[in-house]
Amino acid sequence: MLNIRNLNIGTLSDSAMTPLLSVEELTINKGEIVTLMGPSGVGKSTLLRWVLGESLPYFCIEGELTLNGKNIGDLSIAKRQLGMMFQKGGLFPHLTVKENCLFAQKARSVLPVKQQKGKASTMLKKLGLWEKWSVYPDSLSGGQYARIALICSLLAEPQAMLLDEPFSALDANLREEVRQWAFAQLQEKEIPTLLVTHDRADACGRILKLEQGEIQQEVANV
Amino acid sequence: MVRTLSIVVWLLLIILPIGSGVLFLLLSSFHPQTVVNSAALVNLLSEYESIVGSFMLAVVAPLGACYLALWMAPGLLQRPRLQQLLSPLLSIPHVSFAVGLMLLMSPSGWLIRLVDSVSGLFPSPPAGWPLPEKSLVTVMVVLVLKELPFLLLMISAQLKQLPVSSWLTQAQSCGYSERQAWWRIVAPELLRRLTLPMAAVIIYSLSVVDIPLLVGSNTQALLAQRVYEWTFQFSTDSQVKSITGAWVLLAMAFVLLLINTRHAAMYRCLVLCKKVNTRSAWWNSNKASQYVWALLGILALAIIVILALQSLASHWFYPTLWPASLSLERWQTEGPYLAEPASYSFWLALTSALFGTLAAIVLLQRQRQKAANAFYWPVLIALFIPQVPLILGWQFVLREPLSDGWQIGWVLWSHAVYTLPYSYLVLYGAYVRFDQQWLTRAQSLGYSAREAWWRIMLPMLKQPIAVAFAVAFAVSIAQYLPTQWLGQGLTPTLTTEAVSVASGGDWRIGSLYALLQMLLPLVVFVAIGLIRTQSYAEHS
Repeated sequence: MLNIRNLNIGTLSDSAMTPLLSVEELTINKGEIVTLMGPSGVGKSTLLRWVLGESLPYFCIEGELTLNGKNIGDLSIAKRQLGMMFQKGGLFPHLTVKENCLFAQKARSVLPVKQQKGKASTMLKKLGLWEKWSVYPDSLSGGQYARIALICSLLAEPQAMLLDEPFSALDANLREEVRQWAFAQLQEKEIPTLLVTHDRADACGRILKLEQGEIQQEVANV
Repeated sequence: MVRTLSIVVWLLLIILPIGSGVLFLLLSSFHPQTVVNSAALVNLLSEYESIVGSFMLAVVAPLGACYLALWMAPGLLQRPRLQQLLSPLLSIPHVSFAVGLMLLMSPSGWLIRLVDSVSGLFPSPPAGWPLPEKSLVTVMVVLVLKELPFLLLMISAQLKQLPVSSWLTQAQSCGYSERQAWWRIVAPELLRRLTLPMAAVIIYSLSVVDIPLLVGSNTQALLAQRVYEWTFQFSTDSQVKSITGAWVLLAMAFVLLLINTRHAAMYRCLVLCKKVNTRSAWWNSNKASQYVWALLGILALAIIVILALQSLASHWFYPTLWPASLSLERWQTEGPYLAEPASYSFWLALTSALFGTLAAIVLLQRQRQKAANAFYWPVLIALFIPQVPLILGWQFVLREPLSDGWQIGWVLWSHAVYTLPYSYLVLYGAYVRFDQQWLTRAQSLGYSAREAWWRIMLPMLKQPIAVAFAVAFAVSIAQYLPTQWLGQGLTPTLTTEAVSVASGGDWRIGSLYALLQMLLPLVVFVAIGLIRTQSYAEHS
């Protein structure tokens, strides 16, 4: 379970602080997907990056962040155990698909390399992408890229997942297909997921709308 | 750790060299024996021909190279692969280029021999040939052609950052031809972005010594050359002249750099006020510039071939087109003498390029840490100060360590002072554009920031780092003044030997040194071209 409490985000300019976003409490339960929607500049991506643990020099941010009851607000990105899938940059371009899959596991997994390989290849085979095992990401189609990027994130066994408009680069037909598949994977593995998007078509699960610096309403549950 | 290292780099490779140069000039200018006063200045002004020559060279050569580069640059848009031609061209050191060009284009050069063999027009070398073996014009031509690839490389980097295609389309929809749009819309922006590279070219042209020694006029030496000569004369009068000359060079540099900052604005005013000519001149066409690209490629190849031929020719008298016979005799005779300078050149270039590239990475990493992505021009300051006064200062400050036999170390240091700014210049774009998201993603997979840098950023930037190293290697190979002055003749390199042999008029042995001097960086560039890397630049 991912929990955010008493979050205040402000922008810093000329040593003055302008409030941007406040969140009193936001909880994402095991297997739940929460979508934060809102126009550009409302602070949704900043919120996501704060959860991830990135340093945000032009913002002043205060708040509590817990994952499965453990305070992770002071931990480095590497120790938070959060997976990410952003607009671009899902797969490292200088590594093959195989190397990307192994790289994703190496830092945290206690399994021997052979088993790590087996785990990755099983997931790829399930998707019918086994023949892409040795290729570089630039030779993958948009749909293949997105799927393998999510597989890599999942191989790292994240305790929660953060998605920032992950499907925006895909064309309309493919987008729906990949979107359905990705959310099914996340729900099957019961990973609490926070998705931010400005596109209603991308939304999933509990949808919250950000307006005037606050979570205004629970729009729907899809 | 990066912070500490960046402070060390700043102190050792930027503040110490620049500070000592300026300190020396100030100290010696007020020293009772070498005081610079109006009498010294008047005395120096009697050498007005040298001053005018230097000024003309520092204006004409950079401008010539700049506008030729702008004229050829649309070729880079149509055929991006042309950029690959620039690396080998850049790798040719100035001295090799000058020697090769003279063997090709001088009155007794291969081109005249070719014309004579076809037409019989020149039974003896023509007297009024526009490119004599030693003249100011020859120095200008060498510098224009040699600076051209550097400026084209800088333009090519800028073209990747600008929406040039859409600008051209938009302007063409307003009725301009593609070329008119290029000169009126793209060129002003490129000129603005070329201010720093142009400053480096201007200062180099103003303070160059080795090229005038090789192909410059014997009777009207350039100011930098005169200052260089005066420092070797031990009379007080010569010492005062050398210090006054150094000040005049600095003053000229200041004026030229000031004008350079207004160059883009002046061009914009000029070009926007110009009437639109509906008829396009034949020379201002993409086809014409494509021919020049081809010529440039042929020239680079011809220089390598002519240097190789000359080094192998046993007899090659005018006007025969080919040598009477080829043999390895000269290589065998000169072999023992070549080994030492070749070894010094290689090791100095390798280590100083390594230091320069690592120092540039340290400075850029520190910039990333501070989220300061703007180009930090003080790193390039060594390129904006004429070499003669600067190295004169180093020689003065390092008098004692140099006499204690530490020449090689200080030569290495002086090379690193010049390899750092070029490495920084080459690496800057790729390093600051590197998307933080890649590192964040690696960290989200459990890697520490340091591990992410080693495993992700470094491999993804492998190619630009390799190119920065190769450029730094070529820069070190080409260093003449620092090697000559700080080495005190004890660290002979291929460059210092090529200049001393060829300036004495022996082009045949000179070609041997020039060929080797060119081959070393060329091998590095070719090796780097062979590394197949899936670099960040290729994927972004």
